[in-house]
Amino acid sequence: MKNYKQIFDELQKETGKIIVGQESIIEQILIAILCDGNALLEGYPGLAKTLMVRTLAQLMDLKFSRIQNTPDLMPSDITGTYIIEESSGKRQFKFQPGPIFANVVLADEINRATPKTQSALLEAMQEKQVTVGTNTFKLDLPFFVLATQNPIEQEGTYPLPEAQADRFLLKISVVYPNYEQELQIVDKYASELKDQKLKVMLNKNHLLTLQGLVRQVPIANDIKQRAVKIVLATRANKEVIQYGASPRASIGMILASKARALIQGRNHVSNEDLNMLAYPILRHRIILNFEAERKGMSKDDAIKNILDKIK
Amino acid sequence: MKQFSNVVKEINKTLNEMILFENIVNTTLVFLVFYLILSVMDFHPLLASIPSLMYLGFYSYMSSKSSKPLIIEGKYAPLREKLRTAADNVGMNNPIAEELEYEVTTEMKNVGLSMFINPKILSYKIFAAIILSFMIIFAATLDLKLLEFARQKVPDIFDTKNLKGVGNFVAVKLNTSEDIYGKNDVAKLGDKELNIRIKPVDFKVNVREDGEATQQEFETVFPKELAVKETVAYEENIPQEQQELVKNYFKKLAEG
Repeated sequence: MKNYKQIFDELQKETGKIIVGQESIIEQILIAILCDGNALLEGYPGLAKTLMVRTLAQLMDLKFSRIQNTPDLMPSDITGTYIIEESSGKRQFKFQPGPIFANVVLADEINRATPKTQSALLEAMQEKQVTVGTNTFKLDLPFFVLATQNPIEQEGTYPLPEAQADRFLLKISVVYPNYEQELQIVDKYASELKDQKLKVMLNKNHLLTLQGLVRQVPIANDIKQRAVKIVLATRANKEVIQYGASPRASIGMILASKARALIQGRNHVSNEDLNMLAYPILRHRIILNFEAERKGMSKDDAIKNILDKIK
Repeated sequence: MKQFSNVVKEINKTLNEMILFENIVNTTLVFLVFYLILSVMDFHPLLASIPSLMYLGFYSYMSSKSSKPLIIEGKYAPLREKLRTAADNVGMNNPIAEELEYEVTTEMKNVGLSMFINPKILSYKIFAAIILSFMIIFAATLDLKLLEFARQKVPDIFDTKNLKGVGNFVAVKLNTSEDIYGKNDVAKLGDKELNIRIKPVDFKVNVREDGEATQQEFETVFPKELAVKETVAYEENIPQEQQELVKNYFKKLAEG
């Protein structure tokens, strides 16, 4: 287990060459990748969300593509389309793959795309395949969608439907850096630009092996039961939560906890993993009621209350 | 893998034995406390076995349900969450689980039995048991009765006023006495009064204290006022003029 911890420590260190701070965010992205899940990054503009994802893709030697979502983006712009190709005087339809055909897909500002376009990502995220016309194309594994969205500038946006939000394993809140970190950012990027060479830490095969290992991490029965109780409590707590999380959240909670244990070099899941991961797993899966909003309660506050109750 | 399942079995066995020992010590204390209370309240002291057995049963059930790995984790922090994870996943065949099992087995060597026995508390309990035992002995020797609930008045079922019967008999009220030795005159045998001492603790008669049995000579004494009373015929009580009528009545009754 110490060897795995060393790998992830090295990965964090390499990421640190480009990204200042945000270790917790990078860890959460890695958790999503190790769980073969997708992550939604929410944060204000300028917090290096895109850079973070691009850097990780580089470190893992994965094919990276970026989709900048706009209201006029069409599903075929994501999935790809058939084009007429002329070769040796003969015209034929040929499939031109879209940016979804990559290992790491960054769907930037996903809430700016129309629901029709957003749903084009659904099949890819869940089934790891794309259907265009009558043909279904398998995506190259490993495959992750890492989407970003801004919590501000909501005008002209299309908030993600619950069904699609549920397909993201984690919703990661990207926060502002502190004073020291921001000072480092200024020093790094406001002076002479240096081309940082990144060392490839993992490859596709390593990643697939690690994904297999995650599922082998043992978990105690009481910790497993606590995870399920936490998810069930989101459905039972009608005082503040209108709609609770689905069983997908329970699966995600266990799997993500196992991935965190692996990253931290532990051979068992801890309650601390649940406490830390309950927020990114549940915050996009619950809908607060009017009473909670009237009180100024955030989703994280509601989750904290549940965690405090279920020890 | 098999080795670790043996470790788990050993943990459960050892902890069950220790919990049982602790429960027995506690039950003994409960028994002694109730025994003392019941004896000074003049109830049958063996009734103390009821709450004691209830205590033993309840705590044995509760401890059988408790998670033994959790008890060990509570005493030895490095095993926190590891031991229960390993115990819950016995039989899981993968390198991570095996590594965990090896780690737990190694750490278990640092767990001593002394961690689960608090000698201070145990000695307090044993000391309390000794004190209680002495108190019971003194209370019994001194026949100490603070409250006498048990010795309530026996319902007067032999009350002669309520007795109804046929015939010419006299109901006799039993003489009940709180004196277990009885009246002095009852215990007289000839001219000598028996000196019997019954120990209140075990209710046994110590024959040795009575000394050697002595041969007593008995005299046959016939009661002086012994007399036979003449029987009375009913006929004599019937008036002369009605005797014939009664005789005929019974005659007809016999014929008919």
